[in-house]
Amino acid sequence: MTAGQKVGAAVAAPAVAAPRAHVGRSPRAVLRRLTPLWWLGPSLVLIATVIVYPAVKMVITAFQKISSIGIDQGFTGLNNFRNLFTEPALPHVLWNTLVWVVVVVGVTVLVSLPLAQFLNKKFVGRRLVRWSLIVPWAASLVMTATLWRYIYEGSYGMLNRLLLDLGIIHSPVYWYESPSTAFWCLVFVGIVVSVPFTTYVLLAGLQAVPADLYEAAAVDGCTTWQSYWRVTFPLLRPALMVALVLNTIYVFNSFPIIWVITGKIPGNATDTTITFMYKVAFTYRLDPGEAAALGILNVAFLLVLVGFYVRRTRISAPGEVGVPVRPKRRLTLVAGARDVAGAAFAALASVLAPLGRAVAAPLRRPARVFARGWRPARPYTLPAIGALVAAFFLVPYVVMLLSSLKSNIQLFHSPALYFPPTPQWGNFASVWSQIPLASYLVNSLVIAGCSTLLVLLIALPAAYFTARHEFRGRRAFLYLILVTQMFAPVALVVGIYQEVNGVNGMNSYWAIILIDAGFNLAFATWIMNGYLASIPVDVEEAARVDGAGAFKTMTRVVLPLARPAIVTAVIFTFIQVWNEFVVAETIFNDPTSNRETLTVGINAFVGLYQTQYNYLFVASLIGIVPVVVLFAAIERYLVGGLTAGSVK
Amino acid sequence: MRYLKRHSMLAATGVSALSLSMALTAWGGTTSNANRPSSSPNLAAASPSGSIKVVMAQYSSLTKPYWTSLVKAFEQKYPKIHVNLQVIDWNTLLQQVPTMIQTHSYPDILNFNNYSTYAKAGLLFPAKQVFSPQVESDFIPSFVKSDTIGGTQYGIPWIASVRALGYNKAAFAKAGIKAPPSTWSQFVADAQKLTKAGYEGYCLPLGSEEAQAEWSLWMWSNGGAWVNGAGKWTINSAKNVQTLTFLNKLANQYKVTEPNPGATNRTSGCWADFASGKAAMTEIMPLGTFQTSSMKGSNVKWASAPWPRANLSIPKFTLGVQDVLMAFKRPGDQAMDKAFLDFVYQKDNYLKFVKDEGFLPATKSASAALSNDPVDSTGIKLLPSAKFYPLTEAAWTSVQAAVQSQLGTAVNPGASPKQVLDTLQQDAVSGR
Repeated sequence: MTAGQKVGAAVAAPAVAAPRAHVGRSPRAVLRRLTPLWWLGPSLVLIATVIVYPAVKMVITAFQKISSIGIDQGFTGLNNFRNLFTEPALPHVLWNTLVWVVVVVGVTVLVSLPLAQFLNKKFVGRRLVRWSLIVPWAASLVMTATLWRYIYEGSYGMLNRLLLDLGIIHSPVYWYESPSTAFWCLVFVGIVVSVPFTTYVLLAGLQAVPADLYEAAAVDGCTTWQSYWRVTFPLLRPALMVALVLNTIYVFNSFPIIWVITGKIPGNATDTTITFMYKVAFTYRLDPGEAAALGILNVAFLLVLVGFYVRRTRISAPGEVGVPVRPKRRLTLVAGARDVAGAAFAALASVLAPLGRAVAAPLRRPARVFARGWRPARPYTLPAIGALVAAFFLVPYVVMLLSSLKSNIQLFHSPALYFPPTPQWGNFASVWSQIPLASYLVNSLVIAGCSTLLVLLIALPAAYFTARHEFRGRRAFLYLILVTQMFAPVALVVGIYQEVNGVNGMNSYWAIILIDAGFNLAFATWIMNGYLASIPVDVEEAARVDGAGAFKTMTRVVLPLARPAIVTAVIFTFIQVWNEFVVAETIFNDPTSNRETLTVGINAFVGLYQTQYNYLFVASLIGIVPVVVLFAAIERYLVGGLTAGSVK
Repeated sequence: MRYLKRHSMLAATGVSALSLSMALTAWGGTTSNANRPSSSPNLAAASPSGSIKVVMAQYSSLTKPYWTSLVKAFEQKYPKIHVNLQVIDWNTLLQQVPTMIQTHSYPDILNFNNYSTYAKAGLLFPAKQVFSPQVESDFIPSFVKSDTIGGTQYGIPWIASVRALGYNKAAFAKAGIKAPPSTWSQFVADAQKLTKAGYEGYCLPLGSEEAQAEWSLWMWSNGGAWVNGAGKWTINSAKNVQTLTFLNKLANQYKVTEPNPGATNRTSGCWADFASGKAAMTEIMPLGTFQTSSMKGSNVKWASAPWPRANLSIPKFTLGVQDVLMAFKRPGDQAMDKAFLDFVYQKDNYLKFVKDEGFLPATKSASAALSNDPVDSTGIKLLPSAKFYPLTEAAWTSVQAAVQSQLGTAVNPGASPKQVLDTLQQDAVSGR
């Protein structure tokens, strides 16, 4: 992890390991063996309640008949699976899911590779370009999807205006409504929001490539192209693998984009197995049993991916983390996975490299000419390209701002107006009476704030203890945490709904706070664990010598040192919960008592009536701007936490 | 009617005061009767006391003030009964009711658009137990009929709407059309003329909002039906396939509809287009409510006509859509429910609601009072020919959900209407 490299090699073996030999049956010894439970217990309880139990509940539900009004009619064998497999929409939904995952992940990686390469070059304004990528990454997907829905609108959509002006189309296209274009609209948005994370992961990988290797390659007379394929690409492989696997998981679990843009349109033209499951459970069939059956299949698919990812991640012993190591060795692969992946990459490289050579050969002379002209042009060209990249990611949000200032008449003007002729700044005042924005904000703040606090209280002791002590079950615990990080709530939503319903937690604050906390423990634990492990033990030992107990040592000595990791964990958790949609939509959704979060509230106003995008965009801007600023503040720590140390 | 909502968003909702204690309390506290004196129904009939939860649908901006003042008057008359009133807009209500039911946090009185699933699950009081004989005798019999399952009435008729073909008079004049179409072939010819004159000939709202209404009108206009005389679903009958194929042709062969009718909703799509003068014909409600909400601020001069039929041997009809009240079985609350409903259906109280909202009344006394009303009398005259959804079928709730979420796909280019109807039929028969 980032901080890991800064610390020297002087990390002693864990102090706790030694007494183990003396452990007997004495009460003190028993107590000592139970010590880890004090530190890890809360995490374990929370994971068991909000992740493991819903998973179990979902499995049980898959074999139960539950009527559309929630009455349990007992065991039904494989009927739910039979119903699922005879759904006429299922083949199409499966095909959609495959295309969705393959195309979004594939194109994302193909776009991110050169983008990361570009952002790794030094040029004026690079920082700003990197920040522009943060906007679609940090912004809530519900809000981004609402924005794109407006861009894709037919008679008053912004995309149509642009394409009409450019003469590319001659009459408005109903992008997301018409079944032939709807799915590809979603794919495009999926790619746009996946590129930033992927680029950041690859960028972290690139930064880890030692500069001396390039120098050596240059000495050997490698062309730029050759040094990319011979040096960069092989060394980037681990980062690329991580990006691929994590993206596949994220994209597979993706829900808000599809739900917000096309969720209310009849049919299943754009459904994936995730949105289809949600429809079966909550709108179109009201059949939790059948939805649970599909949920099991979704989870099974995820487990395969997670398994692949987890096998690639090596959990180091406490103390070991602090040792600076070459990235390549840090990313120790389990032999089997390495062989398969290695072979695949070797094959890919051996195909691509000659191909690249073949393409490059006739171009060599013009390339040389180009290179001669390039050197003086470089200081202008790179920032110019950077500006284009930044514009690509930022322009939609500029559209959001401009459209938030339109009156209703300007908003529905056909074709769309680029700029509001008279900006309606009054929208920012009248929005409060148009939608219950104040109550949305209060709810989101309460839920995000409480969840974050809970995560911190639970994750910190666990992160600290696992960073400092070796004990039986340590690895198992860390792997469990890692697996929970891969599990988006949407995969378990049917089980979560059943559980919350069963304990009378619907539309209550405590239930959603617990669930949001449970699903965000992983990131906080990982990032704090990594950072804490990098803090030399000597400091603590000094405190111990001075008579401080373990807990006091943690609060007085370690915490102040670990502030960057804690701040990162706090901000990231807060943003995740602030942006969360599917759990809130499902279990905290009672407008009659003002129980809706910002994301749920915004989505509720999309679609059924003339969508008042202007007000929704005002609300979205209020939701996005602070989050982007906070996100930018922790940007450099994020990749390490999100990839659980697999990169860099 | 499902609902009619203002175009603008919901009225303001204040900041809810959040105390920690509130934050830690589960919603649905109303499911507990612990704080309520539990008295036997007989005793309670003499002087019921306690509190009831009443969930009403919001039809317009007048709905909430109406209920607030009605509840105030009621509580003055019955000081021992507290009414916990919630007025919810239709969009939210449609999402929330399944959740309320699934989570067993039933209200005492609910205003909704169907009741059969809940009645069949034994969740409702028989209607006669929650109002007096005077109220019972005032209901229009055709309403009561579709609220009765197996001889027991569960739905309590609330208000109704009827549908008709709305047309833009200026557009008709521009296209040289003298009279509204009465057959399908005239309809197609007129729609083509209107399209040529630069309008959307017919705006076809088969989006999820109310596909079942649009479909019912076309289905019945070809002599088709949801259910046959023997009570069996006939969604994929040959006639219905023919009808849906006709609608597909309107969109893809004659090209007289708006783009993507399968994704166009009534309120945001067709009525907005009709009000802006873009759509020349569409399905409308010939009622006060349509003029005061959807056509508000529009300068389109419009009129309505009976629905065009496949041939003139099919009798004239209209779609009547009925909203109902129902009383959930919550022990000890029956007497309070009765006091409340009797109060609501008192002639003046009920008439005020119907007039406020511009819908059609479900009682004889209110109909008589409105028989000279300039707008509503048209609708009242249509009522005798009104056909209703098969509300008494327990599967209706899920059939309606499936129709809303699937039927629109049948008018996509190259879609197979038969396949769509076959699937709907299968679901209806298997009761899923």
